Amino acid sequence: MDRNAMTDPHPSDPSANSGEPKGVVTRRRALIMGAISASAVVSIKPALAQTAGSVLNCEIPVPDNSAMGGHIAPDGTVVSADTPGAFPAAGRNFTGEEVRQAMNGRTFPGTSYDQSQAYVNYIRRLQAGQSGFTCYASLQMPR
Amino acid sequence: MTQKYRAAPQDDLIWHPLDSMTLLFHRPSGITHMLADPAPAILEVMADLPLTAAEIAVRLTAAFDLDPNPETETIIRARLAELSDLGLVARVPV
Repeated sequence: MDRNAMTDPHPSDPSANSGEPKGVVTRRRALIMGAISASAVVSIKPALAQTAGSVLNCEIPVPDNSAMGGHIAPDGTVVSADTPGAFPAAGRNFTGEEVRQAMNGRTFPGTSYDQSQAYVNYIRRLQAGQSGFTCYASLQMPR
Repeated sequence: MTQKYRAAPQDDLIWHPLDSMTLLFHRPSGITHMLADPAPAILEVMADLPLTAAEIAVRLTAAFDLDPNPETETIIRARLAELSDLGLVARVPV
């Protein structure tokens, strides 16, 4: 996308042909901020989510391999193993279905409530490029 | 609030303006997002810099005609949370 398109002067704007140097923004686009609660993004299912089974069976490691050896703090951040209150790595990947249920209030099998919440918070923090992100993103898509 | 955010790398995104909406394909997740104002503008002014909501508000004010709104920064923070959940912006560790 031509990112400058957002600030290009409108053709009907008299200042658009004012002879100013190219690239000088002569008219600013009005921007509607909307309400705090008004979501600004609608996401379209990725191909992965087309098949419910794919979503339910995809896996999310906790933590990502790049953070192997780290523990999971209650807020979901990866911390050193000696951090008080942090939980050890899950030890296995969670399936999309397990994550979906945990996000709805259930606990992961074999874990305490607080431990599950820490893992859920870790998953909520996943970013593009981390293992499990696409699986997590797919879980967010409306069925 | 000193939390900083960084937009997803431009190489990960394909933009397509669509009337009043903007389509945004996010390569890593394979998800296409339909963005309404002010989300595209927020991503635009973030460039590749780690910025707080307050800093983004300053940049938006400089680049766009904004209605005076005491909640601008709060709205930006809400949109950043939304974009963060979708992987379109990342929270930068403090």
